Amino acid sequence: MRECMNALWPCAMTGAVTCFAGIGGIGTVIHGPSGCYFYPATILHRELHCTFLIEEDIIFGAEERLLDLVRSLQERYRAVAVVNTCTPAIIGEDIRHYLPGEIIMVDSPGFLGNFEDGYLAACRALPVKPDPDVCGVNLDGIQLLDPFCSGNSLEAERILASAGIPVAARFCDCTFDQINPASCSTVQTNPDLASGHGLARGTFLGIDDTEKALKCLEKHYDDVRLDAFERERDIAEHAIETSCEKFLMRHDPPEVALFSGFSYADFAARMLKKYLDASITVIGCRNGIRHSPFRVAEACSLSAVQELIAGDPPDLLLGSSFERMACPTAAFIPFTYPLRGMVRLRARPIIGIQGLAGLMEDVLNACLDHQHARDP
Amino acid sequence: MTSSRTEGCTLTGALSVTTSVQDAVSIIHGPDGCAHHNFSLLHALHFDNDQLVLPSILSTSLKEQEIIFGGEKALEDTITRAFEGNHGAVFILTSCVAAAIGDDVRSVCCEVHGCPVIIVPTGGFLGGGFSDGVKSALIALSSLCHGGNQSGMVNLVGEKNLEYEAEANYREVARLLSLLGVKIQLRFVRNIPVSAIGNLGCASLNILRDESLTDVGSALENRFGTPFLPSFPVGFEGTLRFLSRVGEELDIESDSAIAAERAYQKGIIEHFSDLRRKTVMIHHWGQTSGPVLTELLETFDLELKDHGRLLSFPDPLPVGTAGLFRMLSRWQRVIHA
Repeated sequence: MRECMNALWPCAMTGAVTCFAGIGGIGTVIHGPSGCYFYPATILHRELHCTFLIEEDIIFGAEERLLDLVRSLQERYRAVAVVNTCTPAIIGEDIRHYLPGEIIMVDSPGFLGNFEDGYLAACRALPVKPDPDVCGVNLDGIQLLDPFCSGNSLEAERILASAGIPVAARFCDCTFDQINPASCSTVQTNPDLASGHGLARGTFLGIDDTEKALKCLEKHYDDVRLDAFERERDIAEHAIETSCEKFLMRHDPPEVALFSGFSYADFAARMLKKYLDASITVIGCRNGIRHSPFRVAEACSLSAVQELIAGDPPDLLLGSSFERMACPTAAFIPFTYPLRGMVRLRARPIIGIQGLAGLMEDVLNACLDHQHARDP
Repeated sequence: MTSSRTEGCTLTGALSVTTSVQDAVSIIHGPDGCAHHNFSLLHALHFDNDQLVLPSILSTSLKEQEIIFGGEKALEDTITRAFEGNHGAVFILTSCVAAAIGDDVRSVCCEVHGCPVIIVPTGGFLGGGFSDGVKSALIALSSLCHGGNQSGMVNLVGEKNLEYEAEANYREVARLLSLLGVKIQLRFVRNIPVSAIGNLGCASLNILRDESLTDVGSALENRFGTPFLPSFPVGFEGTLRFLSRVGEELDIESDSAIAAERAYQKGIIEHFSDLRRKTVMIHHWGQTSGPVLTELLETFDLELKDHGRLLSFPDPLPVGTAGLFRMLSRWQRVIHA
């Protein structure tokens, strides 16, 4: 059975639009109806454009409509990107044939895959020119729908600055000029979203991996300094260990279910195991499942989430507001899109030192608050 | 078919109706992405409206293989799965993908046996826009009723379930009707069980949420013989006319109710006397503000000027006297600020 009860993850079209919308200077066109436009427009809060197709356009052709829109946008933007949607893709409209050659085009109808599929297809289509003369490193995996997007961007920039390395392009939250040209080296913030631009120099997801990535960069850049990072790392790790030790003096290790993209969830599970000896009941994965020491299962529908939670009820839940509603009795930490019914204004990282410190702070406070609410 | 290019998908409109039937499940015959877009939107709006129940939306998960070979088997499997959930009814909504590949949804539904299966002919954007989806759903769901005797009560038809003020508007209409001693029989469709739809044909009057639903009112009148009023009340005078028309349709004396409401309105106009003779600029969202806005400008002797204080005039229009009260409160806050 392939049917899906309450789908929890956006489609490939939304992923592709998220990529282009993050690059200032690219005019993003959704070639489809208003129903396809409104969803990314409301969640991304960036200016998007649409051909707003209706039935007549499918019968008589939408070529002129698309061309008119593209031409008008070429006057306003450095580049224009067109994302195709389901019905124009099904009827086989040959968009690429009639669009001007310089237009970025991604055939990313929703039925072809999930958010990551569309996002990565759009990343590959970006006109990125790596240039060895560009100073600094690119950041990868920065995507607008991620609740850690701006936090990760700031944390990576802070860590790199402390090491004496500037940031070049951010895939995908920067300007067109910053990707063209971009650096030849890239550091990952979310390994699920490797754009393929620049040579991978490691990831900042986790303190140990951040250190490895910095040491890798040390080999390729002059005058890289790690002393500030090492000092801050020692202080943060000591504080985390002390707080977790204190928590465990009075509380049992939490039983935790995590729902997110694979890399974030696997990282958080490893940290919870390391510092709190937590039992990981399941990693509910929104995207491609990979190897993990923990139980990993697909969790792209509410029914799948409910089954995973009911099979082994956690007392701590990391996930979206869907999971929060599916298991209101557990302590909850906002961890993946969407996060409805709560106010989130400040930038929160999950990468680097502040990302780990923030994660463990959120975990301990959620467990303590939950304990107090249960046993006042 | 004419449809606005920018009003959104028929699926969203239809789901705003079908997901408000509490014990039913809605199947989107389309890709998971369509289901997610709508589920996520409804999830967000439910939070805004303090409804902490998630809607039940199944997707047939159409992928490339079904695009090539057809999605009828996927639909049949999904309906079978829906039957396992012991739902009161199953609503089938079609996406533009299902319409484009030409699946014969009706023949699939004829071959399944379980609880009532109702096809809502949406077809994504190939079936029109958001409002077409709402109308299609209301008419399709009315097939769950097979008539009845007139009860002297009224139905509210086509409440805007995604509207932030939906419950406040309901309370205002219920208050106005109570002045006439009239009760609401059915909210068609807002937070009701499937079984309640059986009473749709028993009302003596249907009150439509707004004039865009006239086709639905006519369809119900043809089917059950129930007359209809074209919209919820808007404006001070419009609210009094609403009371008069309900009285006429139900053959109820309405003079005392109208007198009581007029006195209430007079008190409100005095309450907002700080608005009088102010210089304002009105920002209105829709196209339907004409007579109600004119009435307010005259009532408070407001002067329209480009440099005036910017007041917002909402679309949909405020419902009844209470709706005007809340809008005037917001206007007064701006004037006092």
